[in-house]
Amino acid sequence: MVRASVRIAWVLGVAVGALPVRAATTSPGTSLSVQTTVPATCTVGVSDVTFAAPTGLNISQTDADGAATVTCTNGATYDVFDRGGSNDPQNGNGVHYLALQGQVGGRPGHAPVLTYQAFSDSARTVPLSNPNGSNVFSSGVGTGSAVSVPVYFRLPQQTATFSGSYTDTYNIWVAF
Amino acid sequence: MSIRTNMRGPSRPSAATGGRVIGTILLGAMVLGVAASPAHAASQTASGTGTIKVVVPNQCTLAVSGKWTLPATLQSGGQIPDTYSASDATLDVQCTGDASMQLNIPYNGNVSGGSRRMTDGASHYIPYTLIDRNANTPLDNGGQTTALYYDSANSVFYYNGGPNDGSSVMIGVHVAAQTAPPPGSYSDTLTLSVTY
Repeated sequence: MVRASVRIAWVLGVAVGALPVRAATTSPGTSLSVQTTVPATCTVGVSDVTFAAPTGLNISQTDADGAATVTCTNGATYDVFDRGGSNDPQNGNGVHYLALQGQVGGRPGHAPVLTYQAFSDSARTVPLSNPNGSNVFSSGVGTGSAVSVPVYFRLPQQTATFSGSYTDTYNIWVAF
Repeated sequence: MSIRTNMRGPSRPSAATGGRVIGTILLGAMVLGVAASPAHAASQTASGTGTIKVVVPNQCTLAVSGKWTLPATLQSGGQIPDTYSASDATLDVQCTGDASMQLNIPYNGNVSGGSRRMTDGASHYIPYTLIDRNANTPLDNGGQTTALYYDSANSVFYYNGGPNDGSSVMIGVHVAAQTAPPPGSYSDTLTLSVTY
């Protein structure tokens, strides 16, 4: 008899120990939420611009048009602003520089350069680069579609000292 | 054309960032404000670049000043002595590039028998030759055009083969001894061109 009682108690002990595991699988479930935030984004591309080749040593005033293409997500508020040319000196006055390729330096005083300017209006009266104020020249709200913002360039009358290809990299940013 | 997007993450709460991080954020804001001054407090920027370009073709100009001048009195006893120009014309060739250039001095209507000639306008002539004043040797070489290579970097002329010809050329005029024509003022006009 004593031996039989011990067996029963052992079996019960195993059964009681397994109960909490089965109870957890049937407790009330917790909720799991899935969410994400789509950030406002913009991209901007700037068209390449090539001025018509001059015919003489004395370069006549020449105009050429370009554009920044801005694409922002729907509802994103953005400002398009000018960052000037890569050859600009510090504290530039809105005059940009085309540097003769193949020359060392590529900045005024270091290599042959030609000057040019960028404007926000076709009459070329409002310089794009305004060192004394905001350089924002266009603003808007994104729709998801590309928006073209024109940029008007001018090569003023000047004299070239060397033949060759003069280039600069023009920078336009979009803040959003 | 290139397109690049630069996205910055949202700012952290100030209480969690500490002074050093806040300082960095403020510095970034100041740089953005000075450089761009966007109208609203934008937290992100996208940038794009385009190439602006103009190609200036090589071109040359030729300017002539002064003239070749012979002694005022050539005649001596009915003869013109062997004479070289006392002063020379100045040729100024300017080109936008370093491309090789050739100075051409073609024959004109006064030439006869391959000889350049000055005239008094009354069918009287004094033959002469263009010479290299450095060596007093003729430049024409029997051709219809005197062709010289111009080294713009050093502002000197060479024979047509360029600097490989050796010494540079200084253009002058030589009048060989001859019987003097009727007294008068004799001249010739040369039309020069540059090929590049």
